Amino acid sequence: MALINEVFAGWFDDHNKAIGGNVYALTILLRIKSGRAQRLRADIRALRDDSPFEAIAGTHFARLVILDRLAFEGPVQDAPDTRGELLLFTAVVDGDEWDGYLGQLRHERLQPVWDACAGVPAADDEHGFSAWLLANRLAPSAFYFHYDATVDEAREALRLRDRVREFALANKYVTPKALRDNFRTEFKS
Amino acid sequence: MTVTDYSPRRWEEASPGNVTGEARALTAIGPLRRGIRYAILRLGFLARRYVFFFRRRKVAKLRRLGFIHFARWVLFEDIPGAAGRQPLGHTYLFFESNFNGGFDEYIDAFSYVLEEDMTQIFGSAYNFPGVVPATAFKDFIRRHDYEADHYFSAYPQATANDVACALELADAIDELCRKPDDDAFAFAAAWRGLLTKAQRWL
Repeated sequence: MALINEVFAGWFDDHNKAIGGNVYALTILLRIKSGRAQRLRADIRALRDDSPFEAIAGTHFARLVILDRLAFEGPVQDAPDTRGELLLFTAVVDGDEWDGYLGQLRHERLQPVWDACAGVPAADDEHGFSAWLLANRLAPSAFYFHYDATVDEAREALRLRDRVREFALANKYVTPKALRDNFRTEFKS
Repeated sequence: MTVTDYSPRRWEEASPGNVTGEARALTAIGPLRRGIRYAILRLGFLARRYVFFFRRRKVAKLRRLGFIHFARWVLFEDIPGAAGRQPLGHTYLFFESNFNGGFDEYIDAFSYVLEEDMTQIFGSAYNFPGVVPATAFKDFIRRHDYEADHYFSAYPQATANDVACALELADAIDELCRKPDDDAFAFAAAWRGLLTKAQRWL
């Protein structure tokens, strides 16, 4: 049954969700209001030392990128009209929580970022905010994940690994009984 | 910010916004030319989604590299405009990677380990130089790369393999916790077995 699920996983799942995994790739492309890009860049860079995404549960990775212009290396006469700046926001999010995640993005420290973008709904319009982001969402053609875990699971596993290392070193030469008792204390209590 | 002004400095130094702890953010965007390579790219993406064995083969190669947390490939043909969606007249490819290690080593691995896959993915881009030798391919990627103005990682000090190994170790410890441990000697043997198995996870 698991194999059948895996074989057909790509057929029915949301295209933004990892096939066979529980992580979600959120990709939002927004137009920046005219004349606001420079200030927005300064505002976004000011977030670097204390990221608001730390407070938004379920965020594995997130990035905000101002696109001054879209690169084009083809013939000049074929160049698309890409005047104006765009804001690219992407995040890798716990799969089960992604729809609630959009609401969390109305974080007070991120609000100036959204306010600098065209079409942003009023600050108190929660439903409108989520709908606005979804209307500007791009679906990945492919999404790769190296591991399938929530943020909490990944962090907990990393902490556990440190504990196991320390435990292994501290209990290298103890008797079997002491090893078992110490293991019970460390990992079972 | 696009790194079109090619800098001789290392990518990490030229674009410090792409770095947080061990994690690196690559954000490359460029237009594609219509043609046979473009058709192959489209078919490849469809096959990844709908053909299990194809997908598994592609994923297995990336997993072996072991330094990419998450990556995505997005095709788009319009952007938000002043009044609704604004068609670009071209298909653009957006490639994003969250990886660890140096940019140069990352592209080297892509070039020499995944030459065929990278050619399939980027082959229809304008001025694509080929993936080997890697130097020209690195320049190509840098010309299409945008520096992240803000980049966040929930576990910045961990590499992709750190997380994957820690999760495997957590499962093994969980299994050991569920085993009866009345016999201390049997438990000690099971612990030693776990440590032997866990060498690469620790």
